[in-house]
Amino acid sequence: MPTRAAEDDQFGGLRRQTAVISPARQTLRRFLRHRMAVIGLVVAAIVVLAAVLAPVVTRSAGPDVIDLRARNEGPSAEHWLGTDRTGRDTFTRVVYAGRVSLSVGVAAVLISVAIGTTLGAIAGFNGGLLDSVVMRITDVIMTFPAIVILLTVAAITGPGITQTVVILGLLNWPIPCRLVRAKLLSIREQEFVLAARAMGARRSRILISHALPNALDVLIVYASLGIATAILLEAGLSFLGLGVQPPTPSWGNMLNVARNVSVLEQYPWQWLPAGIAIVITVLSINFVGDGLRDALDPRTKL
Amino acid sequence: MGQYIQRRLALSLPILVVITALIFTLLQLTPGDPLDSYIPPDQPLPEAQREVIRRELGLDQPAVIRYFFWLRETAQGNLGFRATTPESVLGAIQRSLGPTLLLMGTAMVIGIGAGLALGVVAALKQYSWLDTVLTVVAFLGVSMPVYLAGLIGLYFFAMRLGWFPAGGFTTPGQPANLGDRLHHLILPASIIGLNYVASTMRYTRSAMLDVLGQDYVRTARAKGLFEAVVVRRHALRNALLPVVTIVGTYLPALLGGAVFIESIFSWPGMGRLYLDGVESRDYPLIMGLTLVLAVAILVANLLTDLAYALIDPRIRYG
Repeated sequence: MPTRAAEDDQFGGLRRQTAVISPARQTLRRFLRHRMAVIGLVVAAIVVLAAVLAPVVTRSAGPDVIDLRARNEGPSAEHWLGTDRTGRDTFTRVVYAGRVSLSVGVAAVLISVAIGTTLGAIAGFNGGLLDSVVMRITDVIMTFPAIVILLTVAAITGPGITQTVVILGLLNWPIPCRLVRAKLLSIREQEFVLAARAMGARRSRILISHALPNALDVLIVYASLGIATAILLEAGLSFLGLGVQPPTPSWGNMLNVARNVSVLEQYPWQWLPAGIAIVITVLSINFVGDGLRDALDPRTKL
Repeated sequence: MGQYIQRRLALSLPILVVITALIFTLLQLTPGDPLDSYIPPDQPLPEAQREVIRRELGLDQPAVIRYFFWLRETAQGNLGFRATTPESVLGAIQRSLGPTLLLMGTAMVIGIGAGLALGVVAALKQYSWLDTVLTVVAFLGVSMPVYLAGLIGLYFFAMRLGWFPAGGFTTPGQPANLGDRLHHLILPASIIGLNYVASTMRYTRSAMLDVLGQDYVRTARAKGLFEAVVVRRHALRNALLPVVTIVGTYLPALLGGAVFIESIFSWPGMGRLYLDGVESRDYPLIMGLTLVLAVAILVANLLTDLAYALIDPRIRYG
């Protein structure tokens, strides 16, 4: 059996030739190899940038500027995507609606990740009765169709941005909760946790600085896919008039006008752009999430 | 098996009580007077008279007593009356159940049939151009919300092309016939079906790929069986197990209906009834519909478990 020194000598040359690649770089490489994910990232970045820079991107002074001389006008050089029934510029409203829809999606996911991680970590790390109780609660929430819970709770809280964010956050926490729990169940049996325990680390310290960082990858993947889901649900709720309320534009409540048959038929430019914005955003975020999952989980390496 | 079913059904009763109690509690948290959904607050009515009606409806009782009252009546098959119209909740559900079953049943037959077939084809021709196209379509199907698909379908096929009527269950004022029914059914059912195609196809494809890599499939090929036999008898049957799980999650919607599509296409089904109930804060209706949905979910879970045993003889329930 060769000694450590001899082994170093034997492989030393090889080591020097191949640069050491950190796990982060490996992940990045795997992500960049995923063509659709990169395209998705670029598109998602453009959507976010447009929303952030809304005043620069749009020509109208704001989403609520009405022009009663230009009502229900079709697309033109002046109004790229036409105007609505009070003469507001559709393009401007779609861009500003992006701000609302994206923020609602991100905020809702932050809430569900916070609740889900806390409960999932406690349940997964401690096991026992608490674990069973939390799991049964997630069972009940997950079996009911999301839209039914959404509608019922929306009927109770009434419509509004804050309400929508809170409802979506409270609805979706079971998913990150289960992901974190499953991850921690396997992590708590591993040697480095045993080692930390043997060195006398407190449970809370083991959980926060050893176990949870290992669950970060599943949370990142969930967060990206969760934002897409939250955007879809917000739009659905607002489409039915139970989410974000006009005049604040959101992609969902811009679609709401299409529930009026004459608007649907005669002024497609008033609702179609918001719909396309939803599809493009959700599709690109889904591709990014898919790429992240492949990149963060080395077992799926080709 | 019979004993197993009995035990499962007995176990679902307490679950139903918990779920309905939960919804009932949630509804209590609503700000405002529950009497307002029976008598609009802007209607001039002397306070004394409001109190009489309140007492008649039992709304002066504490919530716990009202819940047990609801439970007792429900056990006897009485779901009460709607708050906003004199219709009974049971009557409203019976009236809406047929159209929803028809719509969702058709959508699921389209979705599961096409999804299974396309999923198998995509797995057999992995990485071909067909597989790529189907993958992109599936991603689009998952990312396209059903309400947008509904609006675009309505705009394009009903209004621009005029192939289908713009919503409704039958043409009003005309005697109902099969052709007219189908004419109204096809567009909304295919749009809902598309969603099911996308998810069924993805699950079937990955399950098939899993199974096709197994040793017993190689063995079956090695002993010279026809590829069709290998695919159908050896691969597909084993791949069906995860697919059955996902199909099982579709089933509750068979009774629950589709809120968005029914609302867009003015389809007189359970989804629209639910939306009506939520918009007018019709608590008896919401309670009744939640109960139906909860029963549907429990039955669907049971059916899914029974289907496992049917597909995989190794699974037995004692």
